[in-house]
Amino acid sequence: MNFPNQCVQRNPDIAYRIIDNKALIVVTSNEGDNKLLMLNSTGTHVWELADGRDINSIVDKICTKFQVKRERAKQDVIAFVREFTKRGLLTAKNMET
Amino acid sequence: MGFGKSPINLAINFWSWNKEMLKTQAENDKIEKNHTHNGLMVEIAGFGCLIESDHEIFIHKLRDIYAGFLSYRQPDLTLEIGFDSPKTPRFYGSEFKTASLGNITISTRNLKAYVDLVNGIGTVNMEMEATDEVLFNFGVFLASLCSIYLAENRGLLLHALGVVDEDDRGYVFFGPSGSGKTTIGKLSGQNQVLNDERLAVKVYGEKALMFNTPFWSQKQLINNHKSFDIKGVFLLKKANRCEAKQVKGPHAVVHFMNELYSDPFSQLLGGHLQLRSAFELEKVLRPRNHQLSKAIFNNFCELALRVPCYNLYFSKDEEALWRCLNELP
Repeated sequence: MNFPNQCVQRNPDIAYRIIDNKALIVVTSNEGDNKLLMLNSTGTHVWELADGRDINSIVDKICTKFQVKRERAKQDVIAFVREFTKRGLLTAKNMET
Repeated sequence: MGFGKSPINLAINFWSWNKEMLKTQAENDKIEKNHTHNGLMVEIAGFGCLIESDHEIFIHKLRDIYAGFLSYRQPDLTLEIGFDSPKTPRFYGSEFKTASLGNITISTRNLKAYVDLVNGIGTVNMEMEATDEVLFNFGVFLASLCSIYLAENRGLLLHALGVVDEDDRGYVFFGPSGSGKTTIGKLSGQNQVLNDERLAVKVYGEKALMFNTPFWSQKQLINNHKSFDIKGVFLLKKANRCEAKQVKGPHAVVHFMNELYSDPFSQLLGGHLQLRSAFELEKVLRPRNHQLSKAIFNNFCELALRVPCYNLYFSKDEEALWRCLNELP
């Protein structure tokens, strides 16, 4: 999967709140073992930006916000999206042409 | 000193009599309709449920159980209770479905119900005999409805103890069974102790309020419909000292919800083993019921944003406990 060319979107069925700049996300499993995730500030920012925009534009925003090198930011955002997609918290799909 | 006509009793009697005189004819008609031999109206934390049945003994027993929670206002939900003949198989199955948050089907060993909370109507079929088990299961069913109603209306039914101090400030103590809720109740001296099994909380504007409930505890107040401002929410920790340590912001939500059993949502729904085995409430909390999970999570966040949350380390020292609690801002 070519992540940089993907648009990412939060799963609308997932409950979350941002409190004091930290995202709290309800993680459910088929076994009913509901847990809460609390993201750090970078993760929270990526989570908030996952509104259907593509990964490259998320990386741009992260670079501006946290003043990190683009390559490093890109690696982190892709890792985040990969993990959260695997957990069903985000969906990633190809950009419309 | 006798306990007959004390000034307080006289004042209450006068207030009740005066209230009777002030009722309009329409109100009287409504009360008559809601409190006949085949119906009663119960109100718990603002959830008004009119229960109607031709089974007079059942209604009579319910009126005893919910005596302190009878109400005279328009119901949010009218439940028609029907009874099957003893020849009908008594195992109705085991099911808890929510097509939507307000549209519920419940089946359990001796009760089957369909409830449309949006339109305020429901039908329940139960075993003919009003045995203690049937009455208990009806109570579990009513508590489940109350939980869902509260979740939809910025509230929660907590497995918690409520205590009210002399300034009418409310303290919510919670934690799993054995964490010390009953002990705290016994250490509460002159303070008003509410239910130590199920406590209702609701968020109104910037305030968080708590209410007594009739579920599995018979702590009756003079006015069970009264709400109390919550001063703090306390997660109980047995210790050899008394100390309250505040947990703030998102940490409070994570900490408190994750501390509550492995399935925090069922605990917040007022779930305990009997409730789960009766209605498999945990299914409601699984991914297929996102709407309810979201509502509970959001309401807990709202509560934690309005009220300070603490880990309360406590020993069986009443004076030290209340000194510690009174010193909190």
